[in-house]
Amino acid sequence: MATDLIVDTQIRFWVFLPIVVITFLVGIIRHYVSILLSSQKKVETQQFEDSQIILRARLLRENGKYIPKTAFLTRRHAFNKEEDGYLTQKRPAASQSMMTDPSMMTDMVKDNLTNVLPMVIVGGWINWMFSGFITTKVPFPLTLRFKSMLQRGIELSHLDASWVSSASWYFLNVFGLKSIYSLVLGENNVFNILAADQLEQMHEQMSGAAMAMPQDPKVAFKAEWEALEIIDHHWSLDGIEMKLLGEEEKTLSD
Amino acid sequence: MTEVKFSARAFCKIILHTLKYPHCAVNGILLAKPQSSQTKEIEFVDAVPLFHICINLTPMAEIALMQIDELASSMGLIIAGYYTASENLRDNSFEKCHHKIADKIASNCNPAYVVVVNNTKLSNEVDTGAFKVAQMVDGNFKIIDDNLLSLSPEESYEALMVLQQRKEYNNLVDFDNHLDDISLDWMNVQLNKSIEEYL
Amino acid sequence: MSAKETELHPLHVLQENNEPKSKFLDKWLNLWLKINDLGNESEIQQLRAWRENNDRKSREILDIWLNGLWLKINKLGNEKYLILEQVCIAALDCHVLSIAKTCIENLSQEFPKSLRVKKLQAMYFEAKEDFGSAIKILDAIIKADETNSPARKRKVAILKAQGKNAEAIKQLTEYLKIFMADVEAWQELADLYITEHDYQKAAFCVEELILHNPHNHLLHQRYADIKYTQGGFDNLEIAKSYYSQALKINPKNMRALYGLYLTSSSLLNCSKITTSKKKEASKLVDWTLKEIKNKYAEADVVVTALAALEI
Repeated sequence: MATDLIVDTQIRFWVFLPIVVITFLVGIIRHYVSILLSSQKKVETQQFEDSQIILRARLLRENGKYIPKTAFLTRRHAFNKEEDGYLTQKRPAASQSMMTDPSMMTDMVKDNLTNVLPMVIVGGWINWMFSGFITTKVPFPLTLRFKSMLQRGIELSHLDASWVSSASWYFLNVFGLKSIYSLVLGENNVFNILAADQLEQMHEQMSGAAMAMPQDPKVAFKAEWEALEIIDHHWSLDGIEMKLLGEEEKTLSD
Repeated sequence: MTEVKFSARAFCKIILHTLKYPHCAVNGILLAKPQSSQTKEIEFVDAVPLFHICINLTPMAEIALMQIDELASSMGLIIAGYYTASENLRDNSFEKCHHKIADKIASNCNPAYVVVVNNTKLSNEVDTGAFKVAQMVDGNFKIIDDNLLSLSPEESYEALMVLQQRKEYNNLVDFDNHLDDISLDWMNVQLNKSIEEYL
Repeated sequence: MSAKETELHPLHVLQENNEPKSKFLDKWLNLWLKINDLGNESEIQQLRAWRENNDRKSREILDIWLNGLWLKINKLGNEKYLILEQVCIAALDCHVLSIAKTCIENLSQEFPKSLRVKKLQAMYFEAKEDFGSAIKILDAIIKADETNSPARKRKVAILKAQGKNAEAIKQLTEYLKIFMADVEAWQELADLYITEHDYQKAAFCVEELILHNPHNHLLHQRYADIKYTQGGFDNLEIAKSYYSQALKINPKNMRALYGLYLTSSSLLNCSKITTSKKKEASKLVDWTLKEIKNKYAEADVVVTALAALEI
């Protein structure tokens, strides 16, 4: 154990640095490819409308106490009436399963194309090109459990766990370069946002809270309908005048 | 037909009010000296700019009328007219600009006058041509001919030009401003002084 | 743009002008500094603040623009486009179409496909009162993006500009069927109903606004205003409660204070009122009167109002 390993300097130039550079470049390419492939997410009017209905119903439920009882009741009626209320209207069974919706499919394919595929291909290629090298050493001792993590591709039971194999070095790079990407692409990212038609999107972000929409409106509608049905209207302004007077009298007597 | 005269104060304040809020409908009250119904002339000595936020709601208008009435009577004036400028550039008809305040004034003062600012005629050189005036008689409008409108003194429109250039409209206080900050004075004493200065 | 030409050719001016040279050089030095000065952050910050608060300060924005901002627009980085848009809208508001046009041209060079720039183009036509072209552009935007709410709202605005309030209301209600949670649209609808004197429906819209924003005293006060305008015993009762609520949220709301005074005093004159309510109302009248006097005493205005009387 006393005699330390000495790694050939050639490994630094032909294995260690190339892996860093390759992962970095691949990351950048991936970034631009994903920009190229990303399609403006189209929100269906119907879907948008549904989310707005839910939002409004929730507001009615939460803040209904601030409007007079009759106003509350007419609104609840509009939402919950037997036929054709906002929450009870019949809908043609919309695209419910993800697989039947082609746009869903393409989105998934694109996602795979930009994220998973390069990982697998480049990872495989690096494993094949640079297999079996020891590239570097972490400057602190590690327990044996780390061996499987840091020494992928090298099965030497007596090797110190702080040595890192080429394959593991690649994975460390893939995960560790995230912050460097944001550093390098950070400014470019903003540029890209502006270059595409994203002025528009920035605007939409304001109303974006409503966008997050559960896949099936029926379930959400049913839940909202129930919640609205059981709610009891207590007008929070009842006796507000006396409260106002009472408070003032109190402050005066103080 | 009656002759209608606008004092420099009344004239400048009406126009400055419309200039301060070019994107809102504005309205206000015209004050005149009381006179017998026989005289064929009326002079509006002062104007009180009222609202620009929501001119069709009554509660604050009632408060304003109460206060103005009190002040006016102590100055020996009466509320004799109502002026308004609509939000839309082309809405310059009396019917469109009709307002409950005008009815109220008409019920207290006979004859009462309605002045509508003709938005399309507003420019850098405004004179009485920008006004459309009508007498309210039993809920009907008796339109007064443009020739019978005049300014007293005639040079008022020159004063207005100076005021406009100096952006004095920012110093105009209407009743809405007063309600936002009651330390502001809706009688516009300060502005009156500068109007007199520029005459 | 004539100003630009004269200012950028100092030599011509120097030859023709008899003023001492040093003064002139000073002037040009100043101008040069002004052009290259990025230190004038406060203007840009001011613009940013107005943009974020949605303030309608069109004249002021244009003044800043003409005061030299147009010379250094290219040095503003990405904010350039936001400022161009802001200035464009301000210019349209002040009907300075030439500036608006240059802004739009700049923007559309940078973002040829942007729907947001297209909207500006539509607004430009709107300002020229060429409503047909404006609507054509807006329809194209809506066709490209069904959920583009600004374009739909502009169409309502066009109807309003044409004085077709009834149609504007119709279109806006159609819009609200899809964009139910759009507070701005409810607000506009409330205003439209008020101008059409349809207070019942205006009240409904304001209720909707209260649901969205229950702690805004202005909304409560506006609701009470509408209810008071409607009149009748029940509406007065409601108005009274909402004025009180507005006052509770913000004790400085003078409109609510006056409103509470008005409603309770007119409730006193109602024949329908019960004795207990009557007692409460008279208490409220006393209290509001006292408060109003206090407020004026604090602000020290009784004096100036009296001064106005004596002049």
